[in-house]
Amino acid sequence: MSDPDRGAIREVRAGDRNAFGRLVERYQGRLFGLVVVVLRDRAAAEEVTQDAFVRAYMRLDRYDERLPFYPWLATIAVRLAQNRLHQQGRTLRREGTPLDSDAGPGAERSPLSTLIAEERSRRLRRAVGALSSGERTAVMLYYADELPVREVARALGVSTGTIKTLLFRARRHLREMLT
Amino acid sequence: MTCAHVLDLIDAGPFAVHSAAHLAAARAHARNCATCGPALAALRQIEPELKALGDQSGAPDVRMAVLARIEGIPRVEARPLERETASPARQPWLAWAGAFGAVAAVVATPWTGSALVDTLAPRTGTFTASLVGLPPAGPAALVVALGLFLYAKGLFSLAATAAPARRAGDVDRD
Repeated sequence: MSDPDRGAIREVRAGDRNAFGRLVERYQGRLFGLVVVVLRDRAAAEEVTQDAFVRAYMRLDRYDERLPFYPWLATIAVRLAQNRLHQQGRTLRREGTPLDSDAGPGAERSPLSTLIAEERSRRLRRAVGALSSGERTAVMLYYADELPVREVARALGVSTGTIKTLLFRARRHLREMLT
Repeated sequence: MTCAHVLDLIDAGPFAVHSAAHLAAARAHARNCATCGPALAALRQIEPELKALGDQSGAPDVRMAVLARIEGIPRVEARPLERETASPARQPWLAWAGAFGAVAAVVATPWTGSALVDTLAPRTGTFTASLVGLPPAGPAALVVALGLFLYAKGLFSLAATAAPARRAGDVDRD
């Protein structure tokens, strides 16, 4: 775990709630990026991101300082997101709903190369959004968050073999959709 | 080497379990194949783009909302890891109790057995009494009972130690 994280967590444990705000500030973008891909719904992702931080705060007594903070936080967020998907009965469906986070600020004034890159990014988001929830969660944790397979498996509560299978399928689906 | 196999290897990416020579042959195939070449190139291009997917510059600021929500939550403190991991070590006698109890029970049995035979022989006959092996009486019974108790206590202590500790990152699936 990075020293700023460790320092903030110790301050929180010492009773300083505002120190938790620093952790929120540091990880909210990354966590939201993960959750929005898993849920494919910005509003729900914002709620789950908040819930994940609150849950992390409540369970900070169980957190082992020797381990990195973000994977632990991501585990909480992924499980909350999965619960949300289960509640919505969307887990096994692959609707391919495009992510509504495509419209980034300043897109209209971008030069051509930026537009092309954004178009590629939009296609990729759409393709990732069309993966199953397990596949896209594994993809986000492994590629976007750069967690090792072991951590991804822990976050999803499955074996490392299952994660490798999910990533294999995800890569295949992405390749087929994007070529 | 078939295209299907090479595509499998491409999709497996870093998890392809094959020799370096085999993978080199697959790459060579891909370089000259109209199907596998673009597939390999596409996935090579996708990987860095997937990494960029996590960047959410337009992410909402949830800091204030989170701080407001945790305002009413009681202060959290560290749960010392030593408490969970050291508790079995602080009671090493429990681990030994099982062994001691088992030995005591075994040692006490012949002695109590002969006393039992003497007691029961007039009524049941020596042969029958030695087969019945009823619980002994008096101090011998106490020794056996204590032995069994310690054995059971030690046994469950070991079982509790062996139970996997809950990981720090575990959260309930609610």
